[in-house]
Amino acid sequence: MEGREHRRLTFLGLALCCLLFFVGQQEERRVEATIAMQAGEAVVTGARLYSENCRKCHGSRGEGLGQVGPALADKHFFTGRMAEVGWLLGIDEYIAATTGAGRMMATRPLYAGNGTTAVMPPWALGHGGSLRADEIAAISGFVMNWRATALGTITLPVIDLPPPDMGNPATVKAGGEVFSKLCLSCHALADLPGGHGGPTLTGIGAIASGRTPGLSATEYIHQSVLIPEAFVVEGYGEKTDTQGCGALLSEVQLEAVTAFLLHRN
Amino acid sequence: MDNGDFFQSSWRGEPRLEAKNRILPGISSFFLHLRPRQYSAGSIHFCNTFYLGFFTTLFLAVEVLTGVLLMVYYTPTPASAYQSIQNLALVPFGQLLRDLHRLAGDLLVFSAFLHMLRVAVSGSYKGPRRSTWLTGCLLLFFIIALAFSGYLLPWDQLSYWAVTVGTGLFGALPGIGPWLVEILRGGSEIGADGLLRFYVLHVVLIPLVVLPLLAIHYYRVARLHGISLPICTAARRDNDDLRPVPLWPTVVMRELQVTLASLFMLIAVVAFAYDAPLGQPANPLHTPTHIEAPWFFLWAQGLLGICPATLPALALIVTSGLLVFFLPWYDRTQRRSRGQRPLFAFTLIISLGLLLLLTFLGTRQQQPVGHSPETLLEVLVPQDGQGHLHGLAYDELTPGVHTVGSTKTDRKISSGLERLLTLIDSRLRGAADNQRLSDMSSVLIIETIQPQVKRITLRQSVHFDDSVAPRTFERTIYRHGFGETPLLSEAKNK
Repeated sequence: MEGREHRRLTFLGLALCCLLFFVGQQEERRVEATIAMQAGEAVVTGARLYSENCRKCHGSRGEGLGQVGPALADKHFFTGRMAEVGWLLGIDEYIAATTGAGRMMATRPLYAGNGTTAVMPPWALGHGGSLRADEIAAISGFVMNWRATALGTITLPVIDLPPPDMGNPATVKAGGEVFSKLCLSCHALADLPGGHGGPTLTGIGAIASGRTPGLSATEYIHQSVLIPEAFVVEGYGEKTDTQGCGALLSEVQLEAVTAFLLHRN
Repeated sequence: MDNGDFFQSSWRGEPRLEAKNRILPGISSFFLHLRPRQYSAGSIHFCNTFYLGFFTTLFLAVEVLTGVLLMVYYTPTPASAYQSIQNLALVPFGQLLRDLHRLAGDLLVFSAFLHMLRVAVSGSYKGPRRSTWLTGCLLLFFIIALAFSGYLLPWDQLSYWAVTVGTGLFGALPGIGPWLVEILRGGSEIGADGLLRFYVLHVVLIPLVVLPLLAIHYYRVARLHGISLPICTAARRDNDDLRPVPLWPTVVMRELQVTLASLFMLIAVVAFAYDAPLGQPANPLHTPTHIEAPWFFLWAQGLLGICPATLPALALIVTSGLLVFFLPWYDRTQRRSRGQRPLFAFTLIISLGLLLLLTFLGTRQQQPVGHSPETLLEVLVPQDGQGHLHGLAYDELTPGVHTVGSTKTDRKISSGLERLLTLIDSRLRGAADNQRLSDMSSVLIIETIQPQVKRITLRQSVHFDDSVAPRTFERTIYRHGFGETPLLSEAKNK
């Protein structure tokens, strides 16, 4: 009886040792997978934070927005930017440091559209921003993940998004609601009085198509919302203050309001 | 001094000849003589006690051991707590330790509850064991407090808001409520002070109460009154279950066997089938759409959901607790058989049924209810946590613009995505029927925006009956394929 109990105990002890040995054998692979998984989670968090905070200046695909923010998914950013600003450490440290602490001075004479030179604001909590250290690291990880495509080692497939139907009455109506809510305080229309500070947009649908060579009417309106100082109506040079519009509008709202304005010809 | 005296004096110290300072020898004597030399044979038969008390002690021991090791890596500050939990996964056996700690903690609460239930059903709390029942109730209370205080430590959204709501309930207590909330949280909201307080409660104060209380409870159970066997066994005096068996080797051998078998199963489960949850880092500025109570408080969440105010719910909880606590004082009959206690059996079944019902209601409260477009989005792509879109593997998310309800696709899509589109379609139809919505359409856009990163946008366009223009609702999430597929598996344009 006692011998059987001992044998059972020995068997259980051996089984536990074997299990621990087996788990130990897997640990190296598990740690590697965890590192990859955590990096992926950080990039995904970075993508969300980028969309919430950075997209308005650097573009939703890191393509940059004219004079507001430089391109980040760009070969020059990964190969020439550090030399341009005199940064001596690595690119990842540059991204993290610039995102966290911002840049007090612009490296190029960019015009932000509100009478100041475009500078990178600080985003870290300790520097007056709103993001924690792990969030800054996540954004850096997300920007760094553009390196392969920026350098051309990987090309991603591009999907064909359906072009917005600018003539759809429902879209025009939705754009009208957005305009009344967000734009009417600055811009007036013939039948919609109001607007202080911004030029009137009466007949903008007809004017937009020929205003800037090479730009369609849709592209011109997009540009004017996102980069208002790209074309300044005479007499409004010192008053362009529409940088916030790009930040206010979602992509769907931007398309809707464009459809609405195109309709006003 | 011979060898025996030397070792004995090393262990016990010099003999104390004077009458004073006897408290230390008294305490050490208590612990050294905690276990009786003999047990009844029935106490080591599984079917008599289901070893529930033993399992509770074993899980507590696992908690202490893994907890001490976890303390080496954990930093109790808001800036580092979450990161230290993440870093733990990069230490060999670190994730295993954390999973063991979490699972054993849950099992500790569960086994302690089942142990109490067995004692209640078998009527073992009666007569001379009334005080033992009291120590057991106190132990269950402190074990739940231990689990709740540890719940905050990962410092993720789930734990932060659950504890914020949980501590906020005390604010409804008249007089001391706001003061108690501030003491627990270390301020008006949980921050560095609150985290530190919960940490100290979890690793020092509550264990300092639980461990001696457990010793007293065990002393009363095993040494003072003997382990209580079911009434049918105890009544049959000639039964083999009443035969005395020695602590060594019989009882200790059985305990070692059960310990090894339990550890084997516990480690196997955490190694292959269990991951301790860790959500997004705690963000005091962002309240999640749905706040989840820990599973052992789901019944309280359900109760608070159906009660019109917090105070009556709290009063009900405290009254129920006191009724359980003082059970041996108002159930004074010596009858232990279930058949002879029909009122008790009826009350117990009703109480358990209510507990399960409230737990179910608490679970339901975590799920979005209704058929509005916002609710649909919350179900499919929740703002916090994981929804149906997270259920698909990264490779199953075929890039493209997928119109829901349309069989026409320009490329082959994965079977998982096809199932998801069908699910969204059926939900849309259900919502349209319930909300009298016309022209409710949905499109799922999946783009590869970076190597191994996809952006998934679910966009719903709804025509409400009273409006001409459609309203668009959309939500975007990002998924990554890191660690799932090789980096260069993305389609390359050559």
